[in-house]
Amino acid sequence: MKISPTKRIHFIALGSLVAYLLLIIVMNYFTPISFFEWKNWNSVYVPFMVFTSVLFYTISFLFTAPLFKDGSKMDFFVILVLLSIGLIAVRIMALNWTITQAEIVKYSLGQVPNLKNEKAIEAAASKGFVIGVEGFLIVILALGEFVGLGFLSTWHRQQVSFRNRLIEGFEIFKKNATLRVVFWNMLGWVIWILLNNFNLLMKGKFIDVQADLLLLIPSVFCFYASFYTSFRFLERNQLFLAIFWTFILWVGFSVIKATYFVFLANADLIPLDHFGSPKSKTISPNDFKASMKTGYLVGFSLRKILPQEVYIILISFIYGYAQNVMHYKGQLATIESQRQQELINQQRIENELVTAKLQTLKYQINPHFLFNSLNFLYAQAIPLSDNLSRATMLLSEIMRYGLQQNDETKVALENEIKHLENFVEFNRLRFSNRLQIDFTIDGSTAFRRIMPLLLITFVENSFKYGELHDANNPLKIHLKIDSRILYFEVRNKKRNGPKENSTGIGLSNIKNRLDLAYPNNHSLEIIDEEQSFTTKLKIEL
Amino acid sequence: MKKIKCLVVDDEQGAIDILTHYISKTPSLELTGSFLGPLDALDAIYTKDIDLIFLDIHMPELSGLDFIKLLKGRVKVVLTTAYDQYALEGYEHNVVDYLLKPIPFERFLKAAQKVMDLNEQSQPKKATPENAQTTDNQQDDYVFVKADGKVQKVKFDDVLYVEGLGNYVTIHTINGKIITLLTMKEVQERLPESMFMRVHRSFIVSLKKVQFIEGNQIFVEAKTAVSLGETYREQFFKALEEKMLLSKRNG
Repeated sequence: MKISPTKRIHFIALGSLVAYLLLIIVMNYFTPISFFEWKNWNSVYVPFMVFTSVLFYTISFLFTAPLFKDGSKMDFFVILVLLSIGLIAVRIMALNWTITQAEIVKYSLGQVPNLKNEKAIEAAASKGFVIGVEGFLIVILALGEFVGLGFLSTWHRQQVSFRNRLIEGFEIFKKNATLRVVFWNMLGWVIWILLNNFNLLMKGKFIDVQADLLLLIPSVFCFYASFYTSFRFLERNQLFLAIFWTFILWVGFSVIKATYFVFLANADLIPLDHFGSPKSKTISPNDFKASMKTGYLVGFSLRKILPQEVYIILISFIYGYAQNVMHYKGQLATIESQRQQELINQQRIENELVTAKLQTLKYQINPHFLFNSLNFLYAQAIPLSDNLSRATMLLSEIMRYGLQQNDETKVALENEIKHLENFVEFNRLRFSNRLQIDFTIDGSTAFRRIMPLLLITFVENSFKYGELHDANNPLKIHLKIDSRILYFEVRNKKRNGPKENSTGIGLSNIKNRLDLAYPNNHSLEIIDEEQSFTTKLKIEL
Repeated sequence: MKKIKCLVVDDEQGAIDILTHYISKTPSLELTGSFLGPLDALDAIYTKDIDLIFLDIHMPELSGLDFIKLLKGRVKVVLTTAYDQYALEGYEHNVVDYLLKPIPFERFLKAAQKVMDLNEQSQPKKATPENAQTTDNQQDDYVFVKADGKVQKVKFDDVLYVEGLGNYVTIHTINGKIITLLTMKEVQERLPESMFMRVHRSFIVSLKKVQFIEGNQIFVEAKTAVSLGETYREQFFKALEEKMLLSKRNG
């Protein structure tokens, strides 16, 4: 018969688990308190044993198994054996402790060791021998178990598919909501049992696991019944119905639980004194008839059960609220993200509108038409006027440079400067060379690149708002480039008369563009004085 | 020197007027004729001796680009257009230059210069003393390097940059790269100082090939950049500036 590798792994994993459980049962058979004596089942030792086994497997899987593959085999065996011996020692210590505790349990039912009692002496004498033999057996079995586990984990480690399966399983758990809810609910109940038995644990006494598990069943029903009915009423604002129904659930389930307890106690599955001894000085249950006795016991246990069930119902409400809060939080987050998305969409639509507007503008100035027209004007101007033909040429160069650029790519600094010069020159022609402009460039502009239409914005601004006819306060445009940094300074006297309306778009737009093109390596200083306006730009090219 | 015979083809009289005006101002050019339609121009090209056409792209009967195809390389072409959306396609047709209307006179002169340079190149050179000297200088315009077990010739003019990788260097040329067992120092000693410069611990760049500089990156081609080391920065810019001044003086 052929078995696929994944299936084989499943069989082996399942087989290992079954074998391990069998081992526990066999080993417990040899412990002083037999595994089959349910009532005295050692509730500390078995979980402890499982814990040490899992610990050993984990350590072996994570740390010693790679040694087998990569390092020396000697190291691997030494570490494995040392680890086994250590854990066996810990186990024996725990066993010794539990045995003494077990003795208390075993003899507490009227068999208090009495040295005068011959049988007890005999028992005490044989006890040492029994413990010795049993201890030896336990050591041998444990050694076998650990060696087996060591090899198993090493082998597992070498199976790539097994490791992947572990990771896969974890991924499934992370993704599957139902699985997660089930897991956390189970964990919640385990914690509930531990909390219930906190007192006992602190005193070093035993938890009666069987009784706890059996008595948990009605509580679980009560919890989910309350969660799915009365909490839902509350959620729908049916307050009175919720209170009334909760009360019914509380009392009803408590009575059911008490009856159930007495039934189990009579079937000898739970010690009758689980809720304390019902014996009292004056009346003992044995004084009643059988039916009366049951009623008395139900009443007695109800006294303990009623307050306990209140907690269950309360927790079901808290759980419900917590779940609701999480749910609303999730909804809020969804709404928030939807709003965000809407805002982004709106912004995008607005942007598109602006782009579309610009696009129509661009289409309206069909470049072919524009430049052909300018060419025509230029041709007509040549024989007529040098200034006119020159101005036409400058205008077309200015327009062309403006139309050609888009924000993404940088252009040669020389082209940008040429554009500045064209602009200045054109305006000089417009105002018959009466403008006072001091344009200086220091350093070499060759080979450098810059964001297009950046420097021109500052110059355009000074032409818009500046007084450029004053010979004492000329428009100063100064550009300086060294091996690292470009300095650009524009300074103009302010105009007194009517100004063109400032939109404020120019400078803020420039700031945005600078942030995008030269993040963290530019600085823009704007000095707005009474008489003059200065902008100082510094860029690391 | 022989004058270059030109034709002007454009569907607008204004554009023809400007070019006619410019050609008359340029001594090395001579106008043979001008046409408002490409079909008339074709006739002139087949019958007369023409060297160069100033050709508009947008014309009603036949576009300039189709017109070039009919020429089959017979005549040199300078394209003129109002808007540059065809620039790349124009260069595919191997035109000499590409002028945007309205054309500034300086730009027109540049195009004329290009045409003359091309004419000179196509004519066989005579061994004038000046030429002889340049060939003398050019004796040393290459090196041999060992790569892949072969000896390879590397022309200095072809080298873009040299990249150091420990004991090896990679010489990036316009034809590809050559990896050879040399140190950066050895390479630097062998390369002419006037042409090459160390710009980084592991880069030597050909100054001729520098296109532009952005931040600490030197672009030798549109998308190929080498790093500019902090310690070499000042020196590099100084060298570039010197180069520029020289070329300005020469030109």
